[in-house]
Amino acid sequence: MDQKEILVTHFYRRPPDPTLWIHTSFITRKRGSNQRFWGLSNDVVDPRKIKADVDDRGLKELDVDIPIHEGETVWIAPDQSVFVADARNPLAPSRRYITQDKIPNPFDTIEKTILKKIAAGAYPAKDKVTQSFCSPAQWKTLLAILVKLLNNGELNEKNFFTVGYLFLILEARYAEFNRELNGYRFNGYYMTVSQGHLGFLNNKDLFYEWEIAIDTDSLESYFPEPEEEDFVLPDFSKLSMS
Amino acid sequence: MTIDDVLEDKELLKRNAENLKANIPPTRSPGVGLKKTLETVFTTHTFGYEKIIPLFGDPDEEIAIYPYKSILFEDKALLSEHCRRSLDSQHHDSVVRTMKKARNYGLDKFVFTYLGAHEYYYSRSRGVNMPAFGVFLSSKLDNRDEKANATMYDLESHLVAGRDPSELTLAPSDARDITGFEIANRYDDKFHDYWCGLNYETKNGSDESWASKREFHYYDKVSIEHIEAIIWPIQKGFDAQLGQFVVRADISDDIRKFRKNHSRIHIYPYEWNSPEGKDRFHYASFLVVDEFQRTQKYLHPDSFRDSFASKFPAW
Repeated sequence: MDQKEILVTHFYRRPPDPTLWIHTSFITRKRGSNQRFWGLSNDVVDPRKIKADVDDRGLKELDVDIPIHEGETVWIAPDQSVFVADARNPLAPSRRYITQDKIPNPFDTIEKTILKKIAAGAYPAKDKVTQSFCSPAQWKTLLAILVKLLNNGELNEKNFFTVGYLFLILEARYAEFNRELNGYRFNGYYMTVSQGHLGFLNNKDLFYEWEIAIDTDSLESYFPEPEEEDFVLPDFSKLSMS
Repeated sequence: MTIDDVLEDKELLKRNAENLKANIPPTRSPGVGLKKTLETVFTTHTFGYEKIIPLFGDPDEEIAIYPYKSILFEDKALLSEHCRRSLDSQHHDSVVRTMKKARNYGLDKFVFTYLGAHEYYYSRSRGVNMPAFGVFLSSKLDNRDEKANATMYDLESHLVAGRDPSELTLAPSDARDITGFEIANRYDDKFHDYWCGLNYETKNGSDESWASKREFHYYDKVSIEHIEAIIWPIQKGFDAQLGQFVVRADISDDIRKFRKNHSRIHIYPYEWNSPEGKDRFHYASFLVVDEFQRTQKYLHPDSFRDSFASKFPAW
């Protein structure tokens, strides 16, 4: 780039490290120009790429553009505050605060949503948010949350029906994983999941074993094709739990 | 025509190979060594460390996902877009906006790889990047199922403009054969000029080398059993108390865990940092293929570590 002042206009969001300052990437412009560049390079960024990344939440636009110099980069602090500073030392006195980011960790996001749904007493299987929790990327987090809720009593025999089918989804989609779960110590809890049956040993060494008496042959009815009408919540109150 | 139609038409595949080879001035045949390298050399695939996306179905919430965890520890496979979508409701439309031609051609049911250096994941600029993993897949995958195929170029390449993908589709063995002729003739026998698009001695190179490489496609999913090696980004963060860079704890744990379960796979940890990330990633990829094309073997991890550190000292 030439000698015109360079300003950071956007930065790529990253989950913070709990104790360390980490680098992230950014987009710049020269003062007096609207053309955008990748970092401190002369490579021009397609505005469509910027829009797409902002829409996808990976890229954040600054309210006020911040000057940056050669040898500096954008840092994310453990508390998610964002700075411009020397690329080798974020604590150098020349550092400038940019903004405060806020990316919840997956555990908090999923737990918050599940608690909301338990409180509402309804949890339709076709719920897209719930389906995303059952994705390969999140299923272990989901199980950790369910175990936590079971142990602290927020999930009990009375309201288990609101989430019981989540186990069935996990079972149906991840048969292989569930086989692995048998005998698997999950965050210190011994869990078993098998057809129509959930068992776990909590941290007080009490073994909970609940039978979810659902005819698994009818699982298909829990997962209607997307173009069909909204799924009607099955009558989980008829489930027997022992 | 879709890829399925083309794969059923063996005559068409044969004709494509003849036509595409005829486009390369056939003055020289590849030497025995080059031929052997191309018959056995791995294909490459890149994926990222992390990504932040809107929570599917609830745009008010967002969530960080870790593609490498899904691939290496949970799915234990590279999945095609179609396969990911059927399993993972977190799929969002960023993929849909890209690779439109490939999807229309039916390639969304395949895992994409290059017969060439790893393509950088997040950008095509040295100025910005995020930590990337690069895997090397066994050439034996070519014969794994009848649907394995290649295209002469990435369908987004400018070299494809105006051409029908069906004319550019090849059987994997033909794609490797044509590449040998191409290197012998268009690249003056210089393997790396094709593979990396970069000559590390003269530092002449292009960030657009992806556009001229062969693209291989494997049906549905590729189990990590078929991965032979991985270049793995070591991320450091600055410890404010120690006043220096240290390796992030979760990275070391993951490598240890993965090595324990997959001792056969060569792991090449390379130090990533944002200002030099792309060059570091490319150099790590280069070191592995350089050894392979010379010896038909994978580089010893100690040699990799020393060579890498001499070019890119640790921060």
